[in-house]
Amino acid sequence: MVSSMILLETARRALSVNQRALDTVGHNMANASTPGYSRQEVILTASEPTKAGVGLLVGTGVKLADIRRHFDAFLDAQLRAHSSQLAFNLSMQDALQQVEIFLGEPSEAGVMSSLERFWVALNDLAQHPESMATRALVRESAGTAATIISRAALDLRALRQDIEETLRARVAEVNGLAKEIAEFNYQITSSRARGHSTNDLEDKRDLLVDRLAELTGARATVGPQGDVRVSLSGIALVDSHASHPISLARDTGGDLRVAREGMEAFLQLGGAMGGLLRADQDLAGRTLRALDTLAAGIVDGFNRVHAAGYGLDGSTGTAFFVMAGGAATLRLSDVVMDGETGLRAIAAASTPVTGDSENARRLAGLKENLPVGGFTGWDEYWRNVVAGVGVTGAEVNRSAMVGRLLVKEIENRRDSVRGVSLDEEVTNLVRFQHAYAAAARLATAADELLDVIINRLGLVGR
Amino acid sequence: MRVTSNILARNLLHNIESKAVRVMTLQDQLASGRRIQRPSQDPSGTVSAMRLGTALVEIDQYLKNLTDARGWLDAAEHALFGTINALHRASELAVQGATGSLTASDRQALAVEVDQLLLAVMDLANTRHGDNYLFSGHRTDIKPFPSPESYQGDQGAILRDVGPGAVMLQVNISGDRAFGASLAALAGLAERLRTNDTVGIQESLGHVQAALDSTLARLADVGGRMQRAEFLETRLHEVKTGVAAVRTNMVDVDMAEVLVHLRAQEAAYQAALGAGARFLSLSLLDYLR
Repeated sequence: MVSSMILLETARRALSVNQRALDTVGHNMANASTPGYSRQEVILTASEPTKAGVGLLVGTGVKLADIRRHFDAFLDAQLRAHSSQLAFNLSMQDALQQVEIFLGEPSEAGVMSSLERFWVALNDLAQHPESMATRALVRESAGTAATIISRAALDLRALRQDIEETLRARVAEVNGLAKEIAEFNYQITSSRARGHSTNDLEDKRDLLVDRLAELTGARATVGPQGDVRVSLSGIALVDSHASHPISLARDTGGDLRVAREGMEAFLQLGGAMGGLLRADQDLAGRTLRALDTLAAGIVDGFNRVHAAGYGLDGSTGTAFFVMAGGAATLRLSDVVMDGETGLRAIAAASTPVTGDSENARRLAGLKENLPVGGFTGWDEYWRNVVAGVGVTGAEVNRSAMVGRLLVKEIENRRDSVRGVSLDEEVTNLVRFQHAYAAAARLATAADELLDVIINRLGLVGR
Repeated sequence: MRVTSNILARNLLHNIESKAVRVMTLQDQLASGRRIQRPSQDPSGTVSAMRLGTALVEIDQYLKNLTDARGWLDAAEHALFGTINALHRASELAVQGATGSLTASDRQALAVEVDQLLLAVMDLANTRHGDNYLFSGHRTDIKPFPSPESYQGDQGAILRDVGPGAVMLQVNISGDRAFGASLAALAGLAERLRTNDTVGIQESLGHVQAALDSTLARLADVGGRMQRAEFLETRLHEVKTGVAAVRTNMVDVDMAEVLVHLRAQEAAYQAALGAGARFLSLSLLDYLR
């Protein structure tokens, strides 16, 4: 026998379930722009029917089966892989733009132009070895070239320091993220054990995993308890409830590396941090070494030829450039810098004779003869360095452009699965609102039925 | 595919951004007039631009060196011409002086004229080019012939680089090789005319002739070098025109082309902005009560 109260119960359930559904719509709408939020959907199902006589079952209304979180683990993994690749290239691109500015090529303000002006001045000196004006021009142009080279070297050093500081900050951020993710893992596993929904916790945790992957290129795998393991080429940064801090180190060559604390092996970092490490070594570091090589070649070559010649004052064996500790310290020697006396000391002559400008000609000839870094002549070497930066840069720019498009497409695909569509939510709002109103009407109807039974039944003959 | 509001917003931002970048690149090109701002935009173009730029600087310098070299050679040629004229006159005077009908005082008069010729040649040998003595080798601050017989200069060669790959040109000749014989021959002739040494005059005539020959040879040498300088100059001018044309194509922006592209990109940019303004504001909410 079916209880006459069942209709009221059905109405009550419908009201309550639709209320939950409206809550979920509201939750979705409120979080439409929340980063990392996955849309939730109420899964409704008909509740268990009740017996209404032999072989007859009557429905008892609706029940809330689940509140499902929409996500696609495959797209998540793809997005993490591609955003970490993009972050790598963007880090490189940042450094590249600065390196290119420091080099100042191709322009009138670059290393090449300054060396060309120096060469022109040496040619003029070969024409007029006795002219103080020409000598002043040689000193001035050589000084400018030395300043431009040392300025670029100093800027590159500063860039490397900058990169190191950024890396330090990133290491701290990664350690913080790993710790937070481990804490979320704990909350998620314990909530699940108690049978609670973990949708919002998972969203928040996955957002942190996204950021961690973007920074380091790490991969994440979800375990059966809903906890996540984050690892870099097999080395875990987060393993369920435990996190492992990383730290900045240097290898034997003096290059920056990152290692997990307590482990010997260096991590193979990707992502933004991997990009910073590569920018430090391949862009800033390599260009700085190239400047050092160029400066060393110039100092050696010029000083050798210059010392063999004679100044107007008959002086010989004079050093023209001095450098103590890399291109950043390149400058003219004190002897040459010393006013009028310094100008006379510039060794244009190969013999102690006024009109002899043979040595100036030899100094100018170094443009084609100077051995620098395996090249003959500074032009060829320097062009090669600039080409190296340009080729790396072009590759990085191209990859960054492609990466941006890819990440956008995957983000769109992921959003298509888990993003909130306001139009959809508004439609659901109307739908559940109507269902709620109908359920209320149902309750009224049940009330009226009961009213008949309770208040009007059994009054015959009264 | 489900399209969410985030997808619309993301696509819009991406479109606007990529178009803005293109507009900015073109504006950079237009403002600077240079096609390549940074090596990564075109690595091989950058290297070519640098190489061609260097080549132009070199060519200009070699042309300057050649102009200077021609100045030296011009001055040397002028001095040698003067010497040849003087030697011609001297040989006429020697022939005259060797004639038997002349008296000792006639020969004295001839000697005076030869002395003048000697002084003229000495002046030529002491020619200055700017502040430098032309014929004293490297010792350009020392007068090469304070007296006819003592050369004060050295044999130093003054060279100019006049082309890539150590192409050199010597711009001077040493004074004793250019004028030594002439000065000695003139001094000897004057002396013998003065001392009325008719036999010696014959001998001096021979010396003058020999000096004339050797001076002509020097002149031919200088002339040859000048021809080489002219040839190199013409060649460098040709190369320069070629290099400058290639460099312009490589480095400079074609203004008309960039302006047309800029217009097109601006229109695309505006379209992206317009599309965003229209779609983003659409919502089902506008149509529900």
